[in-house]
Amino acid sequence: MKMLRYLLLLAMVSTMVLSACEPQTIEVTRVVEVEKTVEVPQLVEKPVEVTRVVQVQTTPEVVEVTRIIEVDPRFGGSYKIATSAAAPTLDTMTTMAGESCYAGQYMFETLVAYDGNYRVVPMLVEGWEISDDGLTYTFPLRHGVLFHNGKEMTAEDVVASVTRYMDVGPRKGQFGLLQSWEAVDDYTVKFTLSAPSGSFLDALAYPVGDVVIMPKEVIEGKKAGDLKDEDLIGTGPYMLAENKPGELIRWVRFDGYKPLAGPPSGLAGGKIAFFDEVQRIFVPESGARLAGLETGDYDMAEGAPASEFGRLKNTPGLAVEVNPAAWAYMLLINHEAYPSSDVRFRQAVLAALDMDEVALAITNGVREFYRLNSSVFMPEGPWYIQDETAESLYNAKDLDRAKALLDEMGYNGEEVVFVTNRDYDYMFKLIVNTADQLQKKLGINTKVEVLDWPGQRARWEEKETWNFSTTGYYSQVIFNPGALSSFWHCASASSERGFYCSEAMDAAFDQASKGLNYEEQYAGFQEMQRVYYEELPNIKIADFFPMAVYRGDIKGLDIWYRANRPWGAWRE
Amino acid sequence: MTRYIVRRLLAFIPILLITSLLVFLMIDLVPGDPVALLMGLEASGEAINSKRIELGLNRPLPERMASWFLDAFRGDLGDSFYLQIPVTQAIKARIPVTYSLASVALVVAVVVGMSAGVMAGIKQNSLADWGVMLLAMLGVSVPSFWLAMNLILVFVIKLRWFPLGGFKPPSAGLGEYIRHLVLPGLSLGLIYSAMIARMTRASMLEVLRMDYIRTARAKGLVEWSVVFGHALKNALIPVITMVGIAAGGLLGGSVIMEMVFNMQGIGRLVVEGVKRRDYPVIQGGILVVTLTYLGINLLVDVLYVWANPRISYQ
Repeated sequence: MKMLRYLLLLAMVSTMVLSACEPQTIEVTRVVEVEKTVEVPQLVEKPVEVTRVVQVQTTPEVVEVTRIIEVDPRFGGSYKIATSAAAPTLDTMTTMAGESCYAGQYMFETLVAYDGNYRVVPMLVEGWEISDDGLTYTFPLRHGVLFHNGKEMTAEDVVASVTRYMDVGPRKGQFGLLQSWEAVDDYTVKFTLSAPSGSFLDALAYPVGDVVIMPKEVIEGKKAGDLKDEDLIGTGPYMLAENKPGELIRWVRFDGYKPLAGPPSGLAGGKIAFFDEVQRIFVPESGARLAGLETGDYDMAEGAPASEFGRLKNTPGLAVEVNPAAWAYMLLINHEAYPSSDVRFRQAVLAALDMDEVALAITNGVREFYRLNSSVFMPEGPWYIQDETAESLYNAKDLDRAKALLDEMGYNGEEVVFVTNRDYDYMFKLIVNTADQLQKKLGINTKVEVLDWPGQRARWEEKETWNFSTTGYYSQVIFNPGALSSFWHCASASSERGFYCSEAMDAAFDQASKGLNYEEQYAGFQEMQRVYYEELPNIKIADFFPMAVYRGDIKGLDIWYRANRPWGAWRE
Repeated sequence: MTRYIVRRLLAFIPILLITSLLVFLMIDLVPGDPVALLMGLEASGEAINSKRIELGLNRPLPERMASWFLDAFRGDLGDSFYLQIPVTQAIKARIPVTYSLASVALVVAVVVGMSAGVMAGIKQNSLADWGVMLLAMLGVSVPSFWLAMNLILVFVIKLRWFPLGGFKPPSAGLGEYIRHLVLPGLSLGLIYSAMIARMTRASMLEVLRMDYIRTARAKGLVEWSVVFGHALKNALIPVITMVGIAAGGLLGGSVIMEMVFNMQGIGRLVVEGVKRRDYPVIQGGILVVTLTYLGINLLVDVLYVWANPRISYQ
């Protein structure tokens, strides 16, 4: 007992001495947004429309992790996540696959990133400056950012990374206005656009098909598929230790990582890696994932079925949360096949559907996992739009109006084909319930075809053989509505497939993308929602939230946007 | 006998060729585009075409087939579209898992099935016979995944005797290797043991009624010698056939066990390959499974000769 007291006393004294001798290791980051109106010089002959410069400044305080590892008991241990999907590649610059991108975010970082409130904030840069004509973005880089190979990140690495992205990046189309990118000096990069764009920073921060920064010497001239595991070098808090494709990915803490001060926030903020090691293990069977969670083989099980919610909530030793904002499920519509090609038919479907009924079928009757929301966008993000038209049309259950619309268009019992699959449970339930409602309530001649997922995906390429199917929208309806252009713009691949094309919607996209401030962009998205309810490119069912279930001794987990990230979390 | 085995081995070649040809045609006929799945909905037609060219999928089917066969003869089964590694590498890593699982399950099936079948046969119409046949009936009816989930519930979650799943190679220690195989092996093997028990019982009953068994008993041989020395070996022919069928079935059944127990075997590789339309993985995986099945069939035919010397192959 005496010995224990001495040890405790010794520990307290050591801590006090350490606190006194060491410099303060955690400092507060001050993020200051300065908005200032710039007078347009009289000498400019052609008046410029953009008169606003946004400067974001952050103090580059970082946490010296190596100094606190030994005194902070939260450091150590491993964290194992059972995943429902396998990453096809870890070269995240080359893929839109969600699992690859989540995994990539453990080890790679972007210049700017979305924080927990879905705002774009600096990550590898100290801030940015936009020229008053909106054409030039200048990014001062953070000093002392190290790659996993020990080399310091400089402007030439950023230039090389962007160059590779413009060659192999799956979203390079979103950078159509980007004319050039160059290193001004070792720690400054300048991007020049051909026309002002309100979505350039969003495109840089978008967390799928990420524009990650990698060392120049590793990626220069490398195509998709050229990088080996040893080339997957980033600046993130964890570095790759082992990659068994289709099996598991293992990372270890990168001790050279200098997290920003402050708490973690989305993909930004202070990303302190408390765990020595993190693993993502592919376990395709949901029962096996949950059994492993209960036995302690895994610390987190992704993709837990909603039907297990009640049981898991009452299982000792587990923590269950509802992931706040994840995705909106949509009825996907073929606009080239009759009768879904007729807007009155689509409006009749919207008028008739009881969205609660569809959503409850999808979540096995658990109301915590969905929310009826007439806005195309979620309230958690910055673009939520509440308007009376949307309120009156969404979930109206107005069968009289629906029947009147069908009469007006002259619907005469033609077959309406619904295509779905059994690989994704929500797709199957959504389609079966919708088709059932329409047949019972409106007497529509529905036919449901059940394929596997690749079969359904192939069917979308056929323009005449189906009317309705389903898909989910993610970031597009939370923080990056511009990405909806991939589905709703006439120039998109989806439009090529006959999903939808409208001049009015294209004009709304253009209006939003040209907006250089929040209000202008918001007005564009308002117009987009107005056109949505007028033309119904898709029919939104509801917002859905997955279940996050993990071991109760894991603390500090930041469940944000569809996935959990290991930084900031520790084992108690 | 040697000539027979060599002839059978040579016959493998056309069988493998025909199987591969059929698989090639079938996966080409089934709807689904691996490139569209890889690239996602947001990919443009141009990007999809470019990827298709990169993977060689723009070439006509006969050309792709000829190219695959030529490469396969050289031992190159192509690269997985999804895993982005050579298919041979993926298969090589998974062979020990599937073969270990199938072997353990086969041992369970044969030992449990034959013991129960022999006991039921020699104790016909006894309580033991009824009990064994009832259990066998249950075993044949119960789906293996249901049995697996219940074994997990009892032996993993409640009692914590066995690990949940995964696979440890023998190099990680024989104890760990076996511990990881016990539950999947039991889940898979017990189902087949029920079939083998029924077949063994029927075969034993038939043999035990033959004249030479009556003679053996009449000359005063002890019962165990009659059963195991004279009856069992002659009763084995249909049982060996059943074991051969079971061994083939175990390869198929291992797919489910590999899913439930999270084991990275060939079955799971092929199933995921089908889900992703990963053509090289499907081709390569099925080639290996076919080869294994042919090998088992050959072994069964050789075992017939051992069990009954009157059988000879010209």
